[in-house]
Amino acid sequence: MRDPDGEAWLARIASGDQDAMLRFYDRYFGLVAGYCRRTLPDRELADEVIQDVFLMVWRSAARFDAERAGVATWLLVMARSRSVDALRKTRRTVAGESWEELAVPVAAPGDVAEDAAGRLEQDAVRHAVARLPAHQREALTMVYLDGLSGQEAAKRQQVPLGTLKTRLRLGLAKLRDVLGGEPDGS
Amino acid sequence: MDHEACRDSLPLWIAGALGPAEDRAVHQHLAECAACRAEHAALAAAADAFATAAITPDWGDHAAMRARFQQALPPAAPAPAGRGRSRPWPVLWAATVLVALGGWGLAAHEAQRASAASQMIRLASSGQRARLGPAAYRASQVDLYWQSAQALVWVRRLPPLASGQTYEGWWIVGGRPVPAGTFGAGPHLLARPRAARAFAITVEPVGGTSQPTTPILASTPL
Repeated sequence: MRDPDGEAWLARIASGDQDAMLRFYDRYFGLVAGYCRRTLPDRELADEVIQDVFLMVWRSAARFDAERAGVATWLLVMARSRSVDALRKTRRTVAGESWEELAVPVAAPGDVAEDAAGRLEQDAVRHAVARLPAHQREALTMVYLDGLSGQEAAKRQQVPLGTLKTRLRLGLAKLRDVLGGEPDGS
Repeated sequence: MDHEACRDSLPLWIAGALGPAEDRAVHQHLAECAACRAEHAALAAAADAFATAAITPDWGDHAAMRARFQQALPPAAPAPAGRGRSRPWPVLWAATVLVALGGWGLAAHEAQRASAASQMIRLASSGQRARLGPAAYRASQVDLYWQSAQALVWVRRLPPLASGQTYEGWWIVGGRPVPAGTFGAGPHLLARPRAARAFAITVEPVGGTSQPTTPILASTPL
């Protein structure tokens, strides 16, 4: 689910455009806050990290590589990194949550800029995720939300790295089909 | 690296979760292979959709935090990537003080704007929603969100306005049109009478009228 607006704003942010920065903040606040507040046990700390993530966006928008990942993936990598740093400082533990806890009941997208089609699409993705085999869903969660490396995720699932890669690819392919991409066929 | 190995590694490459050597190998293969680039684009979109769908958005304190963030933003362009240049704290502090002393009106305006944005976000995320059905203008695209006594009308597509014209909304209360306010394209907050049973839009002279004078462009029951 690419976000052409988000990518365009990042290009403008990289040249110092504050208006684009605030638009970006409005679009992605809900996502970043949702991640940080579920990951960090302390609300005050989570809110500090949220602001820190957006300041990182302001300072390093030029480093966003649209050729590698989408805006949400890139943002969550930063949010995860800053959350881990904050946790290390406070020596507190991460609150664990399962996909089931995350998935129900999921609030509708809160961004004003989200249109109805986007909302329906996101609901469809959630349903598709819920229907994935557990090992594929867990693999995606470990890599995209928990920030594990391929080796770490494979070890956690007690499978060879090649098996983990296959699970990730099949899981993403099913979500891609929901988004209107070509069937994977594998 | 062959095609199959590249495609197997793409999900981890997107997450930046490969070792340096394999990361470079995928990068190099993508630079040379259009088919794998297409596969990558589709999987990257799916990964983004997964990340977005897996997080429950939390909009709590958005307006207040946005205002603080805006105040903390350096006024000039950010440092070029990689140089690590940042404004010294005294400069940031001075800018903040200047805003506080000289920007009263601006700050009040921004606070008002942030509050409106927060209300819009709340309505769009948790209010009831209806897409207005086209009437006189078949290509209309207008959404209405409402909750309690507040509503958000979002004009995405309506016929262009001539000079001196505006869109005007109408609540249908007891079978009669009641002015809801005038607006242009984009999102706009409206007050909603609790007894309203429908909503409609017409084109009217700037400033609005007390009764509709042109055909309904789009409408929806509530």
